[in-house]
Amino acid sequence: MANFHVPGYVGKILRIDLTQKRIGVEDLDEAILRKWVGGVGLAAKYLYDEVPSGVEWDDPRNRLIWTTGPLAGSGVYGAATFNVSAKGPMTNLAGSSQANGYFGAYLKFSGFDGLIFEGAASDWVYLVIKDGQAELRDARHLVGKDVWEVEDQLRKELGVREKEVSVYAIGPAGENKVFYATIVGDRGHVVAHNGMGAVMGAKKLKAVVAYRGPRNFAIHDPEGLKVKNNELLEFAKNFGVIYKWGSGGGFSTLYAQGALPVKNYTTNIYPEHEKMNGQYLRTHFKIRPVPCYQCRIAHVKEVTVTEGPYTGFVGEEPEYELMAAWGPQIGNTDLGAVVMLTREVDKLGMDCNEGSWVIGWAMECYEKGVFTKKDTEGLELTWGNVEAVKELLNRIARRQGNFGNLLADGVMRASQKVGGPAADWAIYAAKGSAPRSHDHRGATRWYELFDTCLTNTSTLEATWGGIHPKLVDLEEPTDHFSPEQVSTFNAKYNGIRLFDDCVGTCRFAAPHPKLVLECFNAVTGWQWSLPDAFNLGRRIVNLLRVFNFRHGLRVEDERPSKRYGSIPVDGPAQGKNIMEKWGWMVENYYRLMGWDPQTGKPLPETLERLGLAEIIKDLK
Amino acid sequence: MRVQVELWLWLSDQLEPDFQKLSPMRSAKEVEVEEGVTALELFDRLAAKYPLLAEKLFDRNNKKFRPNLSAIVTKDDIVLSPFNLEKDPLPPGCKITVMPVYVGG
Repeated sequence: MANFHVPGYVGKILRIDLTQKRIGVEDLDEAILRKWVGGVGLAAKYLYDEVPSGVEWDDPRNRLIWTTGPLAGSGVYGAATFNVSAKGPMTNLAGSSQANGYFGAYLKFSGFDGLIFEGAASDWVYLVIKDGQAELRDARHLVGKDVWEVEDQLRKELGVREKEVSVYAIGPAGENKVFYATIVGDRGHVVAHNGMGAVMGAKKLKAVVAYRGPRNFAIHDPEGLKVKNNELLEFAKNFGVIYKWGSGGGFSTLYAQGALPVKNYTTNIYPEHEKMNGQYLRTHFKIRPVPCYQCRIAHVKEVTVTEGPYTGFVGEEPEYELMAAWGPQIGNTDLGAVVMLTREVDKLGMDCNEGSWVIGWAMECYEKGVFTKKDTEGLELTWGNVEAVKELLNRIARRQGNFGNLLADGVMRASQKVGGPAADWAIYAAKGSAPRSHDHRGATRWYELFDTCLTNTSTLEATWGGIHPKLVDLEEPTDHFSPEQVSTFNAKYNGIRLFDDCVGTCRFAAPHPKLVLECFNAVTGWQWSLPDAFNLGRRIVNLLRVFNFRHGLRVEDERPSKRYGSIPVDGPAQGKNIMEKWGWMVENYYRLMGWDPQTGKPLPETLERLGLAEIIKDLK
Repeated sequence: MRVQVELWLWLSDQLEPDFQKLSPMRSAKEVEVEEGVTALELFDRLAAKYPLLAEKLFDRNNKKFRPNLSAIVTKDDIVLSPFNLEKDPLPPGCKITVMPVYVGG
């Protein structure tokens, strides 16, 4: 039964003080919801208000905030997404990341729109939430278990069937505060970016369990929502190739564009792409759908490998980024091995993007003699040696040995420690954000390279990817290698991705922003326009930018590493040089975003226009 | 002048022998065209000649590629950009590759 007067919301936040082992419930204010909506927006508000400068990512005073949005659990197909925010270790600035599965819906059904963890437990605990009640329980028996083992163990202990609960947990990587540790749940969905799993590990929080329940919030216009929901589904089925081939369906397309990461960006030649893409996987391996909550796209699959040395292995169908990370980036040409490594990195609880940048860099170092077998503590890190990669992932997750420990802090820090020429081979954004698994020097990817270096959320906030410009009334740029068009486009596009990340939908199941907006209006009754959605996103970006300045952001770090911004030596993007006009691009972007073109700080009039006048003083 | 068309669309068996089968995914054809022809004009002609291409690749009524396809133009295997498929004349010796869109994940 719905008790809260704002449709789409339960109206409660659960606050968990892990130090004091105290749990409290706070009411949500409608004005806050109208300003921040949910997901990344609501979390940004709490992060800004409660984490002052001087608090490091592993300080108990850091907050770990889990929030969902008004569409989660509303019946919009696949809408069970939730967001996790904290100050993250990779950047030591604001971090946010989203995941799907069931949690976003179940969190609401169990009584809450969000969770705020503060403090740190004296020993390992996990949280159970059901019917408006929450309890911290002893998790010491779960320490050392991977995330799949944790899910199995907790369901057994609680005596529940698979879909009665949603479970998200950290694996050994989070326990050992690997900087790119993830939070993983519902059999393979991942909160991937900026080490949210490490923050959870610093708090000695092993897992969170939310029970399914009946819908307990109102919907403003249920009949209108049904109509728009079905329109959204029809659009999603016919948009892109995800419905038919999964996200790996675009793998070869990226190769054609020079945008597949191959051997740490040392080349763009990878003729094996045809046997490594989504089309090959779905026509050669056995697949079984394992959809997210009420998802009719069902692009998530369990897969059984049918050829090669890993025949018989059962795992998750790799998303595109896992195919790229454990395929061409490490010089691997066996798709079954990609499935195996996908399962390995997910169960250990580590980000595949940063994991593959670190390991690809280490392989290049090994090839060039910077690392010997003694340095790698016995591992032969030759390109394509997937068993060595599997072993290394396990050592990194446990910070085992000097080498595992070195790589556990990410490739930026590892390469800086090693120094010499090897320092120039690492792929990262200087702010610490991990690029996603593409070669961002390729055609149509400059937008993403630029966004990765300038993001304030530590995930993508401005790039055109997955939402075609025409869907938000913007013209598609005509020259994907134009510094002017790329930086200008990113500024115009900024905001709409964050709207999505506030409302609780999955971008694959709900890829049309205007239809998502219509569903949002049907649920809430707020009658927002597309400009309102963009403004929400820009408000969040600016709030987090001010947060980041307070926490030490330096604009000279808004650039790629030498290798990340290098000129491709072969392939379709050969010779294209993004760094030629990098400084101009950044100034242009700052200016268009309403920031000082020299300092990058949001101008007072920008903050006022976005309803952030109260934080102008924080920039002085 | 001669230009190369490559289709990365798993139509190789169906398009033989007029298109050379490079692999199960890729098929190719060298085409003789006059100077000044655009990519969309070229594919309109191909779709007129090959009904399968009209069905799968090119909407002759609207004169554009079917949804969920993307095309790039390369010369000496390097992407030409900027390049407008509707307006820019194809340069001699170029290759037009048509493939599925990439959405991400």
